[in-house]
Amino acid sequence: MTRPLVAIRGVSQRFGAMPRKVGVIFQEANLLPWLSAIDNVAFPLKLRRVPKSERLEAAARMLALTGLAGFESRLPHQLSGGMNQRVAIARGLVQNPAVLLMDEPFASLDEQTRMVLGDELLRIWSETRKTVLFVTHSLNEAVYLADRVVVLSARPGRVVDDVAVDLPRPRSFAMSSSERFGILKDRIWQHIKHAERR
Amino acid sequence: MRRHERFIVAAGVLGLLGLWEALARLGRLDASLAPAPSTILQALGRLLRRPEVLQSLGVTALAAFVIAVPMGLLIGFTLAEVPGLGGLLRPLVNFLFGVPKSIFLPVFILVFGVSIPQKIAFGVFTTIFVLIMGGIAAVQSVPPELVTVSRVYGASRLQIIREIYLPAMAPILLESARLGMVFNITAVLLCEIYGARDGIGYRIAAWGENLQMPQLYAALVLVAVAAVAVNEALRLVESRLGAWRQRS
Repeated sequence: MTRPLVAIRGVSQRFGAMPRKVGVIFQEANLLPWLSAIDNVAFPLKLRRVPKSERLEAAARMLALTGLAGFESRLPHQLSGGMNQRVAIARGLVQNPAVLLMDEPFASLDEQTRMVLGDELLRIWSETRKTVLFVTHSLNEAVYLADRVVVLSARPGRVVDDVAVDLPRPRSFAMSSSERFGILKDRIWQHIKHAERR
Repeated sequence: MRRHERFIVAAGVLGLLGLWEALARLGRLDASLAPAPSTILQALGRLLRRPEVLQSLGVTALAAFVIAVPMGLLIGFTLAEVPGLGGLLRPLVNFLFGVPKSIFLPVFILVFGVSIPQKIAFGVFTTIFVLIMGGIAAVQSVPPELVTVSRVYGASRLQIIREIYLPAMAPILLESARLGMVFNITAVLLCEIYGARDGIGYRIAAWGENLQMPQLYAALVLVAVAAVAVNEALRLVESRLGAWRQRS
């Protein structure tokens, strides 16, 4: 596989692991089960041999940011699925990357947790102002979270639309029943309703 | 076990021993087959005054263990990580794993003679298959998605081994080392019983043939306690290192 060329903030390079520029959050939390929450968050820094006190301090800050202060020493199996995903987000943020890649990060969570974490993500975004590239199959999630929704067709994945979401920020749950929200959702739906997920 | 459960178990064991003692003293049990526990205890006391009887077993088993563990794990890792080789040799390992190793003891005696190298070699031979299987299982237990995560966060190959492979494999490695030790002790004892001039196994065989029951039972108790102690010690380390494996 050839490594595609990507440009981040105007600097283009071949895409490989770019741990300091890109934080990645997966569909599953994929935490190391033998490490506590704080050690999991500090893991990317450990790989870069950041001194222990420094990396634990950074990890504690990220856990506080994702609403997990007080849970630092818990192991993944002692936390709920939603909390583990928060730990994964903290881990993605700990190196202060320019971009956060989120690949259906809330897909394996229940609806309630998903809504709460969506709002949390908006709050974290408003505090850190990261560029977030968020992959989702949920129309609500796409319109609710994004400034811009890029609609891809299924197989081959081509860009079929690029929708600017002009809802004001901060977003609120009440907006999801507004007329504008419905219009945006409908526009996206028209593109994808025939493309069955396979 | 909770405290009162332990109490009940202890009381049950003591009760049975008391019953045995009473029946033996009343002459209701054949003393040549089942001597009274107090007689066995005296024999055990005499045996414990000569701790060197366990030395041969301990030293031989330890030597075999120290050779078998790294060798077995290394073979296991290789079979798990090199696809072609693994496909070729794993059926053979599986086959040999199922064969009782004791049938090969005469061969080892023919090759090495009745000697310490023979006992160590047989111990290694008996133990190594558990460790090969353990090594393969340990490698396969490493979650591939965690390797992906570490790559994404820039881990080098060495870091992936140290930070992901080793901690993920540790519980299974220790488990197979523990099982290996059980096989190993059995193998060395078998060597001592079958053809040796010294060691606790040799004495067990000799006492059995001479109907020296108190000594025989005392030796059984001693070997059992020693083996259980080794096993429990390894299990303690294992549960410490594997605490993260518990599911909530």
